[in-house]
Amino acid sequence: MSETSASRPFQFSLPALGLYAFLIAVSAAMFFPLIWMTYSSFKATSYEIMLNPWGLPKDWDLSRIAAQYAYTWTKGNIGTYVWNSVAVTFATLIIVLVCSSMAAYAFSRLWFPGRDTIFTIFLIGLIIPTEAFLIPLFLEFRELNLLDTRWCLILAYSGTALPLSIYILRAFMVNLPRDLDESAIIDGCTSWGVFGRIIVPLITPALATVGIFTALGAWNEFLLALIFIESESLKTLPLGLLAFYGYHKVEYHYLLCGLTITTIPMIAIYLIFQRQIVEGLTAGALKE
Amino acid sequence: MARVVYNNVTKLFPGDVVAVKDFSLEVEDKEFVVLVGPSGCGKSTSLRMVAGLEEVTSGEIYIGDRLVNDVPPKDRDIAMVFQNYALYPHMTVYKNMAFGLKLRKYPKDEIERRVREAAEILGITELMNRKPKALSGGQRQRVAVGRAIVRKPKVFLFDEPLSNLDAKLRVQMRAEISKLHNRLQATMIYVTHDQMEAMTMGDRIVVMKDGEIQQVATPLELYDHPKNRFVAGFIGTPPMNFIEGKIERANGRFYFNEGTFRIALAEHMSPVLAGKNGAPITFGIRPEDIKDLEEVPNPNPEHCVTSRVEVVEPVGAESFWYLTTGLCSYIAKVGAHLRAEVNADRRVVFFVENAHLFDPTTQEALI
Repeated sequence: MSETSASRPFQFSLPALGLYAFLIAVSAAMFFPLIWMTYSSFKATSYEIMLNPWGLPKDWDLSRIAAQYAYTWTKGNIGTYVWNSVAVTFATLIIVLVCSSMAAYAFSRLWFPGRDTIFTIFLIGLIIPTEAFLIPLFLEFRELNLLDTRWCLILAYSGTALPLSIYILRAFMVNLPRDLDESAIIDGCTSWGVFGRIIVPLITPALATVGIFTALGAWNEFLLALIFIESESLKTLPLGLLAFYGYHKVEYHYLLCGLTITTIPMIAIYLIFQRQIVEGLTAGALKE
Repeated sequence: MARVVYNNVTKLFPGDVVAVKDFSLEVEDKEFVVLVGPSGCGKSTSLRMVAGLEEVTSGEIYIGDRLVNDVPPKDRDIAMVFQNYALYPHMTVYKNMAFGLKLRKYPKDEIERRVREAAEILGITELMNRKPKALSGGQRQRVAVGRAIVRKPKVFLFDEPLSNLDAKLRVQMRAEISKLHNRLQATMIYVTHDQMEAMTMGDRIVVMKDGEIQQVATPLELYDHPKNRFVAGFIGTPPMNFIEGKIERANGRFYFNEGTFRIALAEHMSPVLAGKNGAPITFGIRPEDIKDLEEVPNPNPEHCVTSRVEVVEPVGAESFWYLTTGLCSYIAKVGAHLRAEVNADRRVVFFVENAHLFDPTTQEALI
């Protein structure tokens, strides 16, 4: 299927041209902020950015740009923030992937009393905005002595990511034929065996999709981190970058360097897993 | 290998829906038994209960001498081939076939030997490193069968394994599974809704309807001596013709009167019909037992009927004529060389010696 669409030659026609023009325009609109952020971070001063916000940097001296990034890294304490963001994102990712895949398996393949009700409760989580549970969550973490620890972020991010993750994975699993489970059971698998040896390998595209959504959410999250984290040593990247916002002035060139550093890991992950992510998003759309 | 015994097995689904009712059957060692019936008749459920994929509500199932009602599927020593093959998409053909043995912790060289052996039997040795996605329907089916035979189970279970194949491949695989049975000398239970598959493959056939066994018999016995109208209508293509009418007695002989025609019944039917003069009856006759007058030398005039031709279906070796008397319609299977005009009247001959009579109330066969 992919072979056919890949090998299909471009046929010149007015509607096709219009479509391509539209797609190029949309892509440009999506990419421009990233490109702007990157080349603006190469500018030497905050003034240069403010005076000519859209223009290219005057000075392309690579050693100066490298020094500017190095300064941002050290002065902004970015190393610590990156480590915190990586730790929180990674732990959230593990918890969400393990819990949501097991929950989705139970919701899609096993029968137990109250199954659909519990699933509906999870779905309700999709429509509750973060702001609505911010204060109760704050109070709860305070009671549990978890405030200003990495755990409060990990638990909060996992909790908010679970409803969508379970929803996506369950939808994916429902489409897998039940005969596969039964065949595996006859072959000698237990329920755990069916889950681990058959279901999980088959839902890799969906896991990649859930993984990228979760990682993006945890990596970029700002509000909860701002409320729950006080210690400098525990701050995550979005929170740490606040340091470049002075009361009187904003050091835009350093801020943009920091933002570029923040963005790179997520873009890299997306590029690595993009095939699985697209498969995960379009699964079930076509008959196999 | 082993025999399989169903002892008064009943299966109820939630809401007290009866899937299988009081099902008793003994499948002998090395026997090939086919469960056949229309959709929803309980044939797959009966098979799945042997596999352990459905719990038995009441009754007992034995594999060999062991009661297996509460034995988990993996410990029943059975293998099952599913309708949609159920191959693991992320594993190669080799891994698919080796999976069950690997879980049972067989030594690596034993697994290798068994998989190669099965692959050779099925002619799939060159496919070992492919994934199921890269196989045709027929090849997938072979791999599914291969996965079953590497385990050398006591009982093979087939759940409509050929339904997803095209007609030509189905005929080919039908013969291959029969050959496999002869070669492995294994006990096999095979579920299908296709009566042709059942007739060509089974040592014995179990015809089911609404969760109940209608008849258990060899293919020819089933064809020649159906126990009731359902079995008579289900087995055979085109199906048996059923014509409603009455028994009449005249000049010491019994006749079947449809209303527009009357034919003399065969001598051997007389003892059963004694005392039934005037009684309603269902007359059953297979299409091949109705011939055009031109095909029959010296026909008995008391077996001839005039009917109007509604449709002519030439199928190559023979032709199917859809005929009507005005009161009833029926099909005749005649020689391909015969030509008939649609809407023209034809004289046809009923071979009443081969006809069947059914009680219209109980639907049971009288002859």
